[in-house]
Amino acid sequence: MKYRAYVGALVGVVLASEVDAHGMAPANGWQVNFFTHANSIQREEGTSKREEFTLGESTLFVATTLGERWSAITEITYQPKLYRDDTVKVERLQLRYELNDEQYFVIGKIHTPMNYWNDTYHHGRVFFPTIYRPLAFERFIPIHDIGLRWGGRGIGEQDLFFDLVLGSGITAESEHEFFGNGINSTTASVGFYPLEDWTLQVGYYSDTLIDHETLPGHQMHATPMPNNMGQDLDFELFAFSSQFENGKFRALTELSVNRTEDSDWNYSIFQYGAYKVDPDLALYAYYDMTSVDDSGLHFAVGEEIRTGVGVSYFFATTAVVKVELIDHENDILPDSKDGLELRMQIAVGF
Amino acid sequence: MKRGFGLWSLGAVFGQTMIAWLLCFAVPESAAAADLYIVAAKQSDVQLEALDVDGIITGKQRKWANGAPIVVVLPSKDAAQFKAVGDHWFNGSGTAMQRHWLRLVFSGRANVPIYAKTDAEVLAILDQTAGAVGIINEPPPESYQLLSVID
Repeated sequence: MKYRAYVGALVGVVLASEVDAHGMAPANGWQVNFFTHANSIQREEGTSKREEFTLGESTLFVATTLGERWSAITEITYQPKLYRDDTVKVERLQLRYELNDEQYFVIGKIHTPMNYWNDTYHHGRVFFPTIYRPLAFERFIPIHDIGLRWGGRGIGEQDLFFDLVLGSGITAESEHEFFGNGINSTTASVGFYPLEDWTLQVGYYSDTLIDHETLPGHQMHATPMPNNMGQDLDFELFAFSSQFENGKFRALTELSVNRTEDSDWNYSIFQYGAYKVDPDLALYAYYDMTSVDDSGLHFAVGEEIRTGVGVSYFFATTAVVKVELIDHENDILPDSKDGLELRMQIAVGF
Repeated sequence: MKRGFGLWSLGAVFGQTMIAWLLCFAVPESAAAADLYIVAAKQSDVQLEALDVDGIITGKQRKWANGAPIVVVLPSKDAAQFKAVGDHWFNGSGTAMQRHWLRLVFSGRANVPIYAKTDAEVLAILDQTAGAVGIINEPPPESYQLLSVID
């Protein structure tokens, strides 16, 4: 109910002010955008075939400058009950203060600045390089955190950037009890531009998964928990990103390794490459994989791989159609299935 | 695990057909030849030789040397220099310029830009907005600071 009131108030403010809600900001510095997408899927797994049409998240994005040093972003998503229990979610709600010409503070609900993808792409699918997010976000990498972020951009000749976040962690975010368990997570990342078109970034995340078996990301244990272990697990993750993009080519590499206490390392690989035929049309391919070691205590053991080829075409400024042919291999119990999928997505923004 | 040959072949034919169809319609935008004047309000401490105009227009540089934020005024779709700006900085596409800036704003890496339709509107915004930089088609009046000329 509180989300409905929030959205209603926000819409009221927007309508009452002189805001151009069709994409571009007027002189008072407000920007309001709406994004949505839909998918058409044909899937073949073993001997079964499935066709479906799904409605994706709809996203209301509001950005505003509140003065010389203050700005704010909020991002709210909606998806029908058919697809998820929380129909309305506040994905981001952040207030930013420019400390000086290079550094800033942000407080609120943010995307964890773990890697290039999560720090760049919000919930509108228009600008995603691929239809799916990398698998690592479905299993390992927390998309959101709530806390205080200190960051810097454009430092030195090679545009060094950094972020440090103290947050409430995965457990609090999943339970919507912000800081109910105090500060549990730490995120640190640093990067720079070796060349104007090329970014390198490394990130580190640590957290305590409180009552880990109750968390949405938990999957059945491969082995029973040792008797002397509680339900809280320490978790850490390292990430590496390399993003290159010029007028004709794009390459994005996202790697990560992670582990919970008393288990060995799990890892993920996402490699994407694209050729831009023109500013609106791109051909691309990607390899996306997650792997959990046999000693896994939180994530289900096994490998999941997606390999895809696709076409992306912007038929308007913020309207894109993507078509992908995806080979999916999955040996993670209990839903281990291999399959082939033809997926088309239309994503639009207003 | 068996693969469905039917779906593979359907996908291959569909994919090739889509690519061929899209390539037929992928006509690159032609560049509109025009002089572009990058202007700002008069500032006593702007060092022109150290100015990264490309960085300002593409959002990489967000602050003036004195730490004040740069407000970028970009041409709207109806502006005469919309295509020329896209051609020079954004791989030949004004819509690519808009998408580029949208991506920056959504990721929190840039402040919201302002879009203007005419040179007069750009200059009016420079008068009203501290730290603003705009792009116009004609040489600016002397009361404004000319940062760069693109021809």
